[in-house]
Amino acid sequence: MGRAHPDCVPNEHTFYRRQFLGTMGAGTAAIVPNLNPLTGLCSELAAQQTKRRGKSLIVIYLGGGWSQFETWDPKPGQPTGGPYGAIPTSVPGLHISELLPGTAGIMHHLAVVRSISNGSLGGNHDGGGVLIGRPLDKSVTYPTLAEIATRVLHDADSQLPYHVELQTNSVFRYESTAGVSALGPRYAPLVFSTTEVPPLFYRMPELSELDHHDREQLRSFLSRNFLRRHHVDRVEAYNQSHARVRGLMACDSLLDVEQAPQEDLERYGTYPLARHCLSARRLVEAGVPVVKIRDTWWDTHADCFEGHHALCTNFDHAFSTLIQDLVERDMLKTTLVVTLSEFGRKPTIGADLGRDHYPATWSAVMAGCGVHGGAIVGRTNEDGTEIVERKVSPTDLFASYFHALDIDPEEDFYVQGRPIPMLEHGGKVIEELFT
Amino acid sequence: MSMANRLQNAIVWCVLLAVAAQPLGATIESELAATILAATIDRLVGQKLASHGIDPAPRSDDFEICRRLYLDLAGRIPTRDELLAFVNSADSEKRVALVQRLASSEDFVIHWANNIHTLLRGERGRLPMGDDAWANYLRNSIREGHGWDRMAAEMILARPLKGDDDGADRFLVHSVTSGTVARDVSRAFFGVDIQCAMCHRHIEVEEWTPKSYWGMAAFFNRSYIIKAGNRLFVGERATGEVSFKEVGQQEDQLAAPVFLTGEKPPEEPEPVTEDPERTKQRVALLSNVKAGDPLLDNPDHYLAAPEVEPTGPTVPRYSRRQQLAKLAVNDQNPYFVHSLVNRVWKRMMGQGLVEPLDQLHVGNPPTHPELLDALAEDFVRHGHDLRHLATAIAHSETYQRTSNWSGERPDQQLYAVGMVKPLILHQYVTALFCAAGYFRACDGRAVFEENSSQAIATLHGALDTGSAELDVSAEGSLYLANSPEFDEWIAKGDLVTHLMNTSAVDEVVSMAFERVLSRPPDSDELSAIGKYLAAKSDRKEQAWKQVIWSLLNSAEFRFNH
Repeated sequence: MGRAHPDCVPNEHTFYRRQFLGTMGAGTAAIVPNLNPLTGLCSELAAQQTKRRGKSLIVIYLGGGWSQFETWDPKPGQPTGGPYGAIPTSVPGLHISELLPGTAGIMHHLAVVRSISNGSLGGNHDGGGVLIGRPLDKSVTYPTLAEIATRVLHDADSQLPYHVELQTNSVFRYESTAGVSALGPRYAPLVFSTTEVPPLFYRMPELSELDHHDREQLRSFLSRNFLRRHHVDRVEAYNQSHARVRGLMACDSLLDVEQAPQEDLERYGTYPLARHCLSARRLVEAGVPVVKIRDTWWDTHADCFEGHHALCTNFDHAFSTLIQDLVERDMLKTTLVVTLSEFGRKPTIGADLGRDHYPATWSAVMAGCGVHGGAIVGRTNEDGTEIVERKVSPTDLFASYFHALDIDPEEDFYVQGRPIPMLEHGGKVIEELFT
Repeated sequence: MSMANRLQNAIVWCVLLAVAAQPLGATIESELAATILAATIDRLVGQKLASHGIDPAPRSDDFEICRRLYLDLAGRIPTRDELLAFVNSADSEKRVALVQRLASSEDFVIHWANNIHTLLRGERGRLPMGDDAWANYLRNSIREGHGWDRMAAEMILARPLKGDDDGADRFLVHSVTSGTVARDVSRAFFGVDIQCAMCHRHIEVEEWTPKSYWGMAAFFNRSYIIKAGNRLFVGERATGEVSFKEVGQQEDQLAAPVFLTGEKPPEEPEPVTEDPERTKQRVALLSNVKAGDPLLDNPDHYLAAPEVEPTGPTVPRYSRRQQLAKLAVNDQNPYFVHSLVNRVWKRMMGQGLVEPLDQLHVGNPPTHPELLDALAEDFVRHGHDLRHLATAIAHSETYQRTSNWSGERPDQQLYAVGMVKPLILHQYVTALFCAAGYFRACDGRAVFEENSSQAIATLHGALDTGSAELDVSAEGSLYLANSPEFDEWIAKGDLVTHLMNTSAVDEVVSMAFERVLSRPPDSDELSAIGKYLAAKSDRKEQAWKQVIWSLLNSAEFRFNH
């Protein structure tokens, strides 16, 4: 036998050994009720986190399926090309859509892959196949890229959230329809559907700060008493989840993007995607290992061009500002930024000036964590209907993300007791991204 | 009283009763049978412990075993009255009596319906319980003492007519809807996951090839969902084949129904062709029917033929589902019996004799092979009776060991120490209600106070992580710490009032511990809580609420230990 139980992974959770102050009396006396002890705690924890921090991941998910023609693989002048032109970028010879002027200026930090084909992962809006890097399976909820990365990159002792998801609106979430992933709720994101911090981050007003603190101390005291003679990983993990609460609460000012410096707010802009990009930078800087931004809704079956004009304009400014900001702060070396979408959009332009789904050929970009800026992978034919060079699958993208983040693709997680490797069989690292 | 004495006593009684032919004989006989099986468990577990040179932990004390038995057999913690009555009883047979009493209670029925639901849906499956017909079916079957063989056959046949198997088809409705029926049925009833054999030879079991997977699938390829009013049924066609392609092969093959053991159902009778005239007349009466619609099938092939306005499932004369039920749901099928026995063992002991639960095959032997066989044989001999099996395990010394252990615990597969098991969601929520005072014992059964159902649903929703096992999300722990809902709920329970109305500190702290943790406090705890309360003597009620919050959120409360 020798296989570990899925819910009992030894040494995975080092118990957060908060120094409990000998007796309850001393514990209560140590707190001055008029101060907010959490504020100090947060900066202290954030500082520790930053020091310890390894790699981080920012996923920008373009829900609904974005068009490669209006972004990374323009075909101006072709019947499939649509109305927009192509512009040169900071990478000699590389042109992208004129809808992305800001991004064109920072293109030398990005690698673009123009030859993604979903193959068996399909072209449905459940999007799961692309988010999980393997075919959907109705009986198993496979973890998403963000959840896998969270499991590998998180520091169990951290008081910060392990995984934050920022949504521009709540349309469509693969995870919410699919349920908790097989990795378990610990790696599920804290979800923010607006830029506001949810009420659960705040102590209810009826409860004093002192009481809130003391009751957790009392809880922890009782639990440790139990743990002494019931030294089991699960019990430690349970305690740890409670021990993290006050740390999470202490992050409220970090999570509240409106508390960012004025110059940052102005630089990024006020619309939700921009605010979320700023938030992502702040969170990663403080030590949150995984942030996913979910921007919706790109599903332009009609009015693709007007739609993409608005969507791309918002994306371009927010995204290029984020990348530039990460570069300036020297964070791009350790932060992988990736864009994901369910699929691309069809070469044929429909009667309502729309483009339908097109899983056979689409594009994505990535940056940071050793990804070679300026790399161009793959090529499509003249009118963008098919891939002529270096076809890659979403599973290959996953292999490459894993490579950048030092995630062992062979490591198993367990689904109903069955070992499943993190990476679907057959995924190969796209070497050109790293040379 | 030692196990040997108890056994001897029971045997004497049984002989006496058999001679006198008393009507009580049946109860005593079942108790005797459970005691004998318990002795077998202890003997076989003991052999392995001895061979590892490990001395097991001593027997649990009365407080510990009382909470454990209530949680495992009744799905809740004991009320304080029940706890103290048990602990203070001088009856040397009180553990046996408690097991018997709990196992025959309505709480047992409800709890084990939930357990069966959990084991059928898999560790992290998504079969919803929120269906009254399904819950009623499970409860009714357990209440009436229906054997697992009967229940499994009903669930695989999935033909509810009327009466007690009304919700029996919910499992199959869910699986057929999800398109995962071959896999779900193999896993839930036979303890094997053959998914990987869909495309290639099973990694650990030579015999399982794509033919095996598709052989199981072929028992269900004629099953389809029928909508009748608001209800879904699983109908079955009289004909239809499924084909598959092995990796690396060009040709499709026709899949014949084959069970995992390689056994096949008897040859299917050739379908009789309908008189073309009759077909014409029938079809003329139908409008808007596409080719391939079941309505076009020859009704002679059916016991219940497809209807334009269906009221129930279609039933073919030759049913592949029925063939599977005949072939697989029987005492000679080791997968069927071992799988259930292993799962009940895991529910009670916290660890399966075979782990993972759905890898019950030659490549993955049990930790105690002889024990698994003994349990299975006994299970069959006692009419596949879940209650009997759970009772017997509860009687064993192996089950009753204390979970207290200082330092590193011995390998849990040896059962040297009582297991620390996270409460499953319904146990947890029920225990919360019991502790906070929304519960009272009534005719041997705990009932929720009136008007609790909304609060139960709320708490259930807030604490449900979708995972059958314990795992806490950041949102989950924030909820417990900061939700006004949870605090208000504590404040409204009668525990706060009870504690407020008792003045002696030691007495009131003990009462709180007994209510929530089902044990008295130790001296450290008494003094810590005492100091806490003294420091807040001006805000007594607020202080008590916080004490209750910390007890309810302590790790000890969250586990069955």
